[in-house]
Amino acid sequence: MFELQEVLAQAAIAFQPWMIFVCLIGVTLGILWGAMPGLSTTMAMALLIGLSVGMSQHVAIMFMLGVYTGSVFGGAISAVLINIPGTPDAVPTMIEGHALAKRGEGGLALGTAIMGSFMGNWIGIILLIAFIPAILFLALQFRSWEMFLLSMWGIAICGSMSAGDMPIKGWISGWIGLLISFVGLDAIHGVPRFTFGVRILEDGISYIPLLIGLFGLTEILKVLPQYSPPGIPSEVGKVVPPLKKLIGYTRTAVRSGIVGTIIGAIPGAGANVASFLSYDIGRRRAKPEERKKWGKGSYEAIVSAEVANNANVGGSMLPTLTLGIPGNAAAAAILAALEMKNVVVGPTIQTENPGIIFFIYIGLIIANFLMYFMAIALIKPCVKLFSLPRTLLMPLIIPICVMGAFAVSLNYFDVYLMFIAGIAGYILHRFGFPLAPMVLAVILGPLADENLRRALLVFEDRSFWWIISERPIGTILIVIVLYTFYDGIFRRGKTA
Amino acid sequence: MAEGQKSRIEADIESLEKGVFTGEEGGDERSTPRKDFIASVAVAVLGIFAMILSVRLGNPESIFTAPGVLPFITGASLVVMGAGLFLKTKRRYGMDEMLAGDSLRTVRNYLSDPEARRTLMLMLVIFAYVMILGQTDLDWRFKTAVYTFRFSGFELISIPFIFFILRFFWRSTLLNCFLVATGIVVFLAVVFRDGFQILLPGAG
Repeated sequence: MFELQEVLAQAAIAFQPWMIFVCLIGVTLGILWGAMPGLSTTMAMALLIGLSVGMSQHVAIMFMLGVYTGSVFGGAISAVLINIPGTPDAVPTMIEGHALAKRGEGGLALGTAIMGSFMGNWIGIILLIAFIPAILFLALQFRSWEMFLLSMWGIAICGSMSAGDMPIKGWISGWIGLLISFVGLDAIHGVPRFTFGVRILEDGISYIPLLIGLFGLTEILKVLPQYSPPGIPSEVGKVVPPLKKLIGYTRTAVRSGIVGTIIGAIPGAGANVASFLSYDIGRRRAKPEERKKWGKGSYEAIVSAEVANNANVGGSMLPTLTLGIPGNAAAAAILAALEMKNVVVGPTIQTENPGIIFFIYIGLIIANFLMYFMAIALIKPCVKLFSLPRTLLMPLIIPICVMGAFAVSLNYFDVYLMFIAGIAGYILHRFGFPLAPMVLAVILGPLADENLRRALLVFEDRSFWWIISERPIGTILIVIVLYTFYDGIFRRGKTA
Repeated sequence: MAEGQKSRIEADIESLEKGVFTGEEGGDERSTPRKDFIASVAVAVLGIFAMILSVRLGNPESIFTAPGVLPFITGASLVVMGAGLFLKTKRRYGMDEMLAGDSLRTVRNYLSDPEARRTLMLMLVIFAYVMILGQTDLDWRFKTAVYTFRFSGFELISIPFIFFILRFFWRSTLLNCFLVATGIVVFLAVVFRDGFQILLPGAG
């Protein structure tokens, strides 16, 4: 009864016309941003945090959820129409959708992608709502030792998932992020760590400028110097989301939705992994006559990829809200926005921020409906946008990076930090190191550090066997962490 | 680029065809044995440096709550990972390939690549933009009956820099570059400052 009242109270806030308008702006910006080749979801999220600084708590959350939902879909538009994926997770959609566009079925391919995205978001939201209570209950049993292990697993699995067949590079990136997170006054004794006598470093390194530098400036440095001609859009035709046709793909959609949500819930595994994996599973499980169409223009393949990468949104929110561990780099931006608005994420989210989880559910549902309608409405303007060269668009993002980094704490030091992070990100990229584990580690580092030291103090007079036998959740987590390293070193490492 | 690497999209398509995911960030598409060798040494040195700094942090109370505990473990892990990367690269490509090439020639090759030169130039321009904007403190206001027009250090510095970058990369006419740079900077300033009440850098 209490919960129903809370849901209704949050719905009353979320359905205010101003809130819906802000969400609409977020969805529109997200779709346009995602549709632009080279501008990723994470980049959109990282840069638009700056814009949410001046907003109230609920407005900022609504805006960021809109951007997230919109930008994940946006990648499909350029993938189908100009054969360049707007976001990396749209590559499978590009392979299938552009083949269909060349046959004059671009509109239908985009309609399938829109409907697939809509269904994917629904599956993600339903699974998010279903699993949050169970995970929150489990998370409340976690003490310092378990929180430390969970943080370390988050960084380790993120490293494994984001570095392909070289997990060690992902781990190195994460461990460097940990070192960065230690900069500043130590939380227990107030000792300055790694500050080299520089007073401003005593406040620590904020991860928002780091996020903007690594995913904004680095992207500009990667893309702008490559002279690439603008894409030539294919004929769109009539865009009618083919509901009847999609009913035939219900099984594929449900399977892809579950895959996308589970992948989203694993730290570091983003929409990219979800769409690739779901596409691969879909190809293996397709009927023989349908399988022949894969790679040459298959609607079922589009459903597989689009449902999965959109279900990933709901999935990534699961560890973000319940454990404070972002499901991927874009969710890290959501986490940053929530923390900036004094929302305490983690096991105590419901007690410290009553109702906020319900607001997020409702926000995701509103954003999904808006995404559906805006996707149809924005396809034609997007075609115009594609004829603009990247050399025109990319320079315009530079001042947004600077403004975003500065806006967070109105401290120009953050702009210098953003610049250094951008250059470092570019160098790391050139050496083949993924960037997502670093951001995750900077977020989780303080949590890991404080909890390890608390746990060590508790364990001071205890034997190793006591720790193993008396803290079963911790023991399970130790096994999971060790398995993650084992899998990375001995299994995935051998695939090269 | 000089190494003749595949593009990100090509690598993604290839990984899809093989049913193997190459990585969220495009993985090691731009890596070479030599780069991995350099990275392994740099990582190990960073790890040792972190360990030394951690030990120097001291031990205010118990060893268990010492501020350097996790930083030391992290540094030590980085040394192990650096060694791991070295061994993995050696096993995959062999010692000769890892050490092959002349560092000076590699730098020269890199600098002779037009894309690399453009990247370096872009870095320098953005560096100059960030530094100059950081030193600027200006906020002019022109009050009218309906609206207060403002012109701050942000617009003053951003417009010429964006104009320059557009002129260099977009290669459109001077007027087009000027109009786009002015339009977008003023638009952003109005949205952030008037729309969202956010203070701009360089605006005092």
